[in-house]
Amino acid sequence: MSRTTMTLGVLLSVVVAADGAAQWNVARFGTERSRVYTIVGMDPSAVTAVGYGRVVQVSGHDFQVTGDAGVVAAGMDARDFRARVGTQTSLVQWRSIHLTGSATFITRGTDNSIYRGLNFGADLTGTLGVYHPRWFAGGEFGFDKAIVTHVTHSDWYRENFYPDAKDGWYLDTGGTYHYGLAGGFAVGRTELVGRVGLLRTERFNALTTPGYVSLGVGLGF
Amino acid sequence: MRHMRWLPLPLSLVGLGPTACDVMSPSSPGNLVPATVAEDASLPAIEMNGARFHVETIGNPANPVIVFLHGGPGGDYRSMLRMAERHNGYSLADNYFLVYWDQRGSGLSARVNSNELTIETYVNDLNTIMNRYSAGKPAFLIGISWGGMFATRYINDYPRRVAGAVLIEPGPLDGATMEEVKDDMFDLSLGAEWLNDVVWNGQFLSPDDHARMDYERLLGLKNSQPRFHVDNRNPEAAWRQGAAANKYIMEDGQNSSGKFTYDFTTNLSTYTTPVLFIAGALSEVLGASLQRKQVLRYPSASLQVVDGAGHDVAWVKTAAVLTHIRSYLDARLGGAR
Repeated sequence: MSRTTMTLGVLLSVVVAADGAAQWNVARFGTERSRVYTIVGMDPSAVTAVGYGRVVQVSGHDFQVTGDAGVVAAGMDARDFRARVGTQTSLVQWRSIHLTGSATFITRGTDNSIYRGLNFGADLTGTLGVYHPRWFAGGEFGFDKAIVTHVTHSDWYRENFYPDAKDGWYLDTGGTYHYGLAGGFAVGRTELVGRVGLLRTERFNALTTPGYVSLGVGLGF
Repeated sequence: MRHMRWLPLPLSLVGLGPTACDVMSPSSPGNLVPATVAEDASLPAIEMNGARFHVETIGNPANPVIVFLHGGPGGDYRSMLRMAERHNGYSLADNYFLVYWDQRGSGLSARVNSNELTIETYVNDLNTIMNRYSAGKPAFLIGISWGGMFATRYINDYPRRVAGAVLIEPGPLDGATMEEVKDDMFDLSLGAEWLNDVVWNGQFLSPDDHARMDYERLLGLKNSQPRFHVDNRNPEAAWRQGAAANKYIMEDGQNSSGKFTYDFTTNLSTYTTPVLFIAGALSEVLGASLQRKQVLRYPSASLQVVDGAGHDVAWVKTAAVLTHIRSYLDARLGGAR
């Protein structure tokens, strides 16, 4: 595949679908109890994923529990992956205004020129917005914490750069704040959600990708 | 109004597993990237201008001095040590006193605050090196890539201190030229795997301290500059990429809008000593076509092109490069060697 074709493909993917990181329309939780979805975006790399969500009731309160798995779209490299299990609910409601919260457990993998990594992390995100059954719009703020990461250095790195690099578990390896806008609308049983915003490290330093953009398409049933 | 009390529960489960294991800090010296002279007392080092530098000398101090200037900014001199080895029965150390040093904040030299990472500070450091190892006598400079730019800037400021210079694939000697070629230096296409690796890495190891920043920068060493045609199977050896040094030295050459505005050539007309440029024939961005223009910035300079090598010509074709350097130095010293 030529680079131009690949670039166009990724760009097209970003346009037609993308991630919602469980930021779905809470006003529809009572309408459709299950959904399958696909998410694609720059978050922070070009990522594509598929997932399933199910609305469950706990003490009479609706929670959507979701699980999705995705890979970095560049080369569809399965070694650079992300799997998430999370839940989203409305924390506070006044008329159509909701403060929603989501908590997501994340497992991430990477395999690059200098190391192979496996990371366990968690994301907490809050969204304040207007939610109607047909559409929603709001602002979100969240924190994705890389809690612990296992690093195995590559032979290439050891042989050419640093033979004594330490393999093993590293604690508290990073974190990313994300803040921006989220919104979506529904046509029939199909829901389209989008997010766009900025990224900062946990010490508010810049990242290589300054922001994120994603789209998600969900089919309720 | 609804209130939920479940939120604090899930996070507490995540961290339980690995806490039972032996875990490390990504920020501790020597874990992800090598310790610097600030952390490892066994490394050869000197103190100068308020900082600690990784420095190594080879040869007889009574001989003419060659000071090596590595690339980057932020790189180190490890790959340049190959030029001190014996090739075809000849070593530069036979006739010259070789001074290798990692520039401020770079390689195994100590990390410093960002306000110390300026081109002016770098020039002052090099001047201190020159005075320390070649007091009262001009010395030769051999610079690669950024090192060639750095050498030019020093010659521009201190022409009488430099007995001659070898510039191997120097980067643009002025900001206008840098603006012309900067977009050709890196593969920034959305599908570039190296770029996605760097971005994806940000979720694992946030670039929030020097060690993690330097580590992240290493991800750009492979396949990020395809038009440089370097040998990725046999990459130029290096110790540490000083991410802060790279960032702040580059920024020091830019205006507030991020446009490169530096000019290292304003006084080069006074430097009539011959200068040797060397380029790799395969190198596209900083190769022969650029160097044919840059040679003209000096009153007396020539270009040698080495076949079968890219930007890493001094690493993969060391013997050929040394042949040109030897001829140049012999001519500079009147054929006495």
